[in-house]
Amino acid sequence: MAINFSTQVYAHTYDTFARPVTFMPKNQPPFSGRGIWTTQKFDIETETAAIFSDAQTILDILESEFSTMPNQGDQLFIPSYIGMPEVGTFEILDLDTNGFETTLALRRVMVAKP
Amino acid sequence: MSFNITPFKRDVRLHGKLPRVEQTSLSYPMLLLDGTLSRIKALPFFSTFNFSTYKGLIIQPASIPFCGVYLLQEMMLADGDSNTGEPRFKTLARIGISVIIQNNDVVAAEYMLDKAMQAISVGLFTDHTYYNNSLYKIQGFTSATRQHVFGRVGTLDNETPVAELRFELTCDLGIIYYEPLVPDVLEVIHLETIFPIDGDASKVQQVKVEYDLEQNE
Repeated sequence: MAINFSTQVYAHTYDTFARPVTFMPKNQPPFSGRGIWTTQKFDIETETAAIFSDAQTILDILESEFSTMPNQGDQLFIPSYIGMPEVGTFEILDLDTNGFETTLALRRVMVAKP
Repeated sequence: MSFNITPFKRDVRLHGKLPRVEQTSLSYPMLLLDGTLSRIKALPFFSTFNFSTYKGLIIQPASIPFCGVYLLQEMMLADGDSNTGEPRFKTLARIGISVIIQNNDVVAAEYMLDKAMQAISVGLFTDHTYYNNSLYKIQGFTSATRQHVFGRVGTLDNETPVAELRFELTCDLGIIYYEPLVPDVLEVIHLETIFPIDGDASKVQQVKVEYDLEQNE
């Protein structure tokens, strides 16, 4: 028996774990959607092997919920939700799909220093 | 942010009456490191930067803009025949400079790294006191390398939009000699006269003295 992963598996997962996201495509009006946001520690080795302490942050989105998929370079905003704090604004660095779900690699939008 | 290193003095004595040997408080490569750090700190471009010379520091995103100045390596090559004469080494010190900035615009970030490189190279190499001062002498700059790195090599999908300038500079500190310590073990001089020669010495007041030489300092 075949399984429609999108509707029979992922959709239920998203109903539980996803949170609202505002997608802001380049040169297009923003639109609302949802996704599962995850972040984890991610150290970067610099000169002399000194460590820069960073994070690796992703957002999983269900492809069947999008008529037009986000693109590399688009931005998105993850607001506060049911008591969870706002996460902030990110730029999409990379997109990887498994056929049903796309993982967006995110870079935080920050003020340039210096 | 910087870490000051307390100078140490090592008291070397083979015998209680031998002279004390006070070694240089810091080695020449460390003096070079301090000299490099202080000059970069004084450059206007780096006025807002946090600094460290400690390789074990885990750099936090809040520390950006960040500049690390490190002693990467000291290379000691035999000067002449290694088995002849006192130990002496042609000494090279490799200094690593890491400038970390943040900017979502990678093109702008690369230009900013270039500004940092220009500030460092012009600031150091046009300052003659950098290579000719009372603490250390740089005989020459034998090589240098420069890289621009964006995030973690191989993945590039870290969250913070960082860009790093890696500049490595190899400095020739010349020949450093380790002259042998030749101990003076003369402790006491005993002097006694027997006068006159071929005469009756018992009828003459003789001189008898001992000099106990203070040699400790």
